[in-house]
Amino acid sequence: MLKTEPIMINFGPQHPSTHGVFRMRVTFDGEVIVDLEPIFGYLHRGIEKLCESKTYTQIIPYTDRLDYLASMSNNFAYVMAVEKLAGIEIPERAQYLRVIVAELQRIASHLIAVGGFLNDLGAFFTPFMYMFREREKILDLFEMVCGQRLTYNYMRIGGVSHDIPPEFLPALKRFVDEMPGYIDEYDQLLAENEIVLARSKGVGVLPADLAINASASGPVLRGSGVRWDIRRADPYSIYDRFEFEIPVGKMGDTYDRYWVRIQEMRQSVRIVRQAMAELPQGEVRAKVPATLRPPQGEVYARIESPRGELGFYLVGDDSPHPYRFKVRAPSLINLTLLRDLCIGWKLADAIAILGSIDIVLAEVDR
Amino acid sequence: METGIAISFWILAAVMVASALAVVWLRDIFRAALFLVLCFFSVAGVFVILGADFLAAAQVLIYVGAIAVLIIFAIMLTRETQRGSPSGRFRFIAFLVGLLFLVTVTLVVVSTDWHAITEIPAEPTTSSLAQALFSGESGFVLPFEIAAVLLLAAIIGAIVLVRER
Amino acid sequence: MGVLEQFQHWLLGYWPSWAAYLVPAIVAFLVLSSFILLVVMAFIYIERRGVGRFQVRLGPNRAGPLGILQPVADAIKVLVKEDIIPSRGDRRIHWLAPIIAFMPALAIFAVIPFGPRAIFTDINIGILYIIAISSLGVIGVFMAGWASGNKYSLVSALRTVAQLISYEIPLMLSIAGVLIISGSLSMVSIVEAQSIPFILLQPLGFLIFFVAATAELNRTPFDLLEAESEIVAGYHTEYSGMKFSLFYLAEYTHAFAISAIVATLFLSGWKGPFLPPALWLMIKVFLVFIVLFWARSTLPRLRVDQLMGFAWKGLFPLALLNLFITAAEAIIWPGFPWQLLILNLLIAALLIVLWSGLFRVAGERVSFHRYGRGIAKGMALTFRHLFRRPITVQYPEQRLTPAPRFRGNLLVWDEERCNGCRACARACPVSIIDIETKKGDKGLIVETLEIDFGRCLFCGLCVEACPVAALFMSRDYEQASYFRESLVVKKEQFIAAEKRPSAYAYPDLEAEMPPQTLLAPPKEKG
Repeated sequence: MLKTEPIMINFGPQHPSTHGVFRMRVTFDGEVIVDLEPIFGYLHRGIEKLCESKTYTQIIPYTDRLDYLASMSNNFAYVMAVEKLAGIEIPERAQYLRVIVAELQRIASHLIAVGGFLNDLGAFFTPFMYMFREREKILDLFEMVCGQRLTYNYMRIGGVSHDIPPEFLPALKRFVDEMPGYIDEYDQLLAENEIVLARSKGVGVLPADLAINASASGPVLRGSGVRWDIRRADPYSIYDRFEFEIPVGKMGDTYDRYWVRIQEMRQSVRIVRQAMAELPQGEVRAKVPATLRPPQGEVYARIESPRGELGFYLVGDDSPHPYRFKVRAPSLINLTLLRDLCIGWKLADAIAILGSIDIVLAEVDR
Repeated sequence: METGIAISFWILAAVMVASALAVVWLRDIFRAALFLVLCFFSVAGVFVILGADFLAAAQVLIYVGAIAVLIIFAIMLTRETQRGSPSGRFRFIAFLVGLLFLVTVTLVVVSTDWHAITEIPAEPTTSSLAQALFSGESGFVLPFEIAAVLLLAAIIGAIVLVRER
Repeated sequence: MGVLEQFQHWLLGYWPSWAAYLVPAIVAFLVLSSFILLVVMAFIYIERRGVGRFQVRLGPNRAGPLGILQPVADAIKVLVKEDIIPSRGDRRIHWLAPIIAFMPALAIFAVIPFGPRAIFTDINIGILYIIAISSLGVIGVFMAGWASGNKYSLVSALRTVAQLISYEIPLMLSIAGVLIISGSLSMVSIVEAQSIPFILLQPLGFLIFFVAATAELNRTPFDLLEAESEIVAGYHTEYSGMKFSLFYLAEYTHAFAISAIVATLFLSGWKGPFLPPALWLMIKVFLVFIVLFWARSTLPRLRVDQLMGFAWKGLFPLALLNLFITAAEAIIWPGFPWQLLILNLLIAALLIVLWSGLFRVAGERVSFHRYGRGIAKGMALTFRHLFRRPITVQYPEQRLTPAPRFRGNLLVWDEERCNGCRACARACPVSIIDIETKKGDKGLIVETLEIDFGRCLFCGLCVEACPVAALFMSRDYEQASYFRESLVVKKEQFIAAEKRPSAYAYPDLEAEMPPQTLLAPPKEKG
């Protein structure tokens, strides 16, 4: 047998497809990966510690900056945690608005995830641009509601910051009507494309038991065939009122994770449509004291963010600031699987697998 | 016409010899391989001067495009190419073989009866080459076919060897 | 006899022979390279605009009318850039590599016929010359990858060889089919033999040639050498300035050359009614090139082993079979009557169907079992997008109206209403609002107000906190400064600033604001 020598290549922290300042130290034998070490922390800003000196309301803009592709979900999980800690009931209309924006956010985030994944496969930005077009429409809606396109700071403890303007619902209706057609277009472009299939089918298979043991969540877990969605498994807010399915993959390969995301977009459209139809009138914000002082105690609230189980752990101590603030970031936990998924595959697959895990470095490093 | 060809011949010959020497003497094996490419290329140039255009193209295609590239490929897969070959174990044998080769070539050159060809080279060369290769009586159809089958078998063998199990 | 020889003959009557040979060569080089530069610029322009339209973008449209000078601007930009040589690289080889990569692409044009007599030199081994010359380009790429002292470049160089050697074989075999029909290696005779374009007589050969040529060009889906998402830019990662532009030029010159070869070998070259021959050739060349970048803007990239597998298990046997069938036809029907066209189409379809069944991925036959239908669907979709309205806008001229509640980049402060209560300063998560007050006749007077917008989150909490409606978000969204200090806005600047308050936290204001520009506005009722 020929004696070969492994070659070590450093991907990142500046690399076109590491999705941020992330570094992989990959050891190759030829083009086959024998070892991979994910290195992160380049984007650590100390948000968890920082938030311990902010009031509960002031923390909301900081949660925007965790998973910046799904700021609404972060807002949602955080205010839910605070409401649980302080025992605040929120109005019905606010509940519905939260669900609508959170599901729109899921679509927007999955669009980026799928588009980025295809870019990693080497598509020359075309699917990415098409998905950006739809995301743009969602961002338009968000801008209409809260005045911003990326860091929304929309939800408040006890509700949402503002009621929707009158032009929101017609615009949303058009989006909801058109979106399934666009998802069909993506399917036409990608789902049957032989090259996409060749590149993603059977690549980076994540067995269900490994996924559970690694505490993976979100599309990464569901791609492996585990029907675990917190919206169903541990219903929060008003998700028990809606009808939707939880798409699961069969093999747990890169393609299944991609497929699950596409299907989840369809389900999210379904949920938004139901929430629109049932949207009640009324207040959007419960009366909450200007300086909230939740009682002593600890609380953990979790939601199904686009990337998986996003949890906020808070410890209150009667003061206006949380005593402890901790984020369970799904990106970070899913990322720990990277090494297991990549070993034995080729350089190009490692990029595809990383893309299929869909990380946001701001959330990984916090 | 004559002077132009003579000038180009001498330039090509000088480049050929110089690059051949560089191949032997350079310690950096990658550069040596590049000089080998240059050497092959100047041989092709000499063929062109002789009016053997088909041969020149074949020379570039086979020697530069395939053999030299494979050599470079092998070099890239080797370690520590900058230091050159570290062992001198074959120095003595290599010297003997080289000497033997030199003597043989000298003998051949000296004993050959060199004469200038007076007739104009055939133009175009392709059809006359094809005639020589494939014409009924004096052709090489059978060896040609055997070589082709051999190559085909080699390729199929290679594919079978590396196919997925 | 080509143009070059005619020129030589004419010169031989006046000048010494060496000059008569040298001068036409130099003139030919100059004419050719300036013509190629022009075409390459057109290629770059068409590709950038075309890909833009495929991606519902506008594409570059600033430099000159319709952006037609964009390639010139690109060239100037790249030429004035600093030339970087990696310290760990091999300086001389690094310098030489782009030249060696560029020359073969240029040399191909010596034998491309632009018309019955418009060819530089009609050597009788034309197509063989092309194959031989184009196998040289790989050496330049190789040298670049080696001399860069960069692992990405080295990986790219290794991939180059593997890929180019693999695809050269089906490429040559598919050309052999054409040669059997035309009975000549000369490019002019090949065109003259095409009373029916060879794409119809050799459909399979054309497909194989086209795919293999795309691989030779390193274009998507075979662009593994550059594979931006994997190995950054491959062999030219460490190149900048003029040397990079030579690689870029080489790539497009090669694309031009390959398009011209496809047009000559399979699309009956310069032949065509009404228009002059050279124009016909150029039309065909551009058509081929458009298909090339259409595929580029649709398809993802293959993996390295799939690429090799495709060449050896797919293209190679198909090309061999094609050669065999063509040879058999040449014996049975030596004149190649047009009826063969139908037979060959049927054979091509049958072989493609048979062969695509052989491909498997991850143990199951999933990948090519639909005979490329998925790829065709995707291509059709991108083609339809060509006619959709681009979603990007011409920014400084064409401005979008933000939402009424838009949280813009500065705050609007109303001195009259402010009572100095500091609620905003307390609400700010990043503590950037600095207010100092003193006692006045009626309550507090704001003495100093300083807000550091360099650190502002634009979260709007201060505006929400204001009890007297003295603070608004602004609707502006353009702000730039060379100095951080100028981002700290003081009281006087707030007073002097043009006030364009947003309706954020003030829903009463919303009604009078202009409506937001939406990408997908709600449909009118009715």
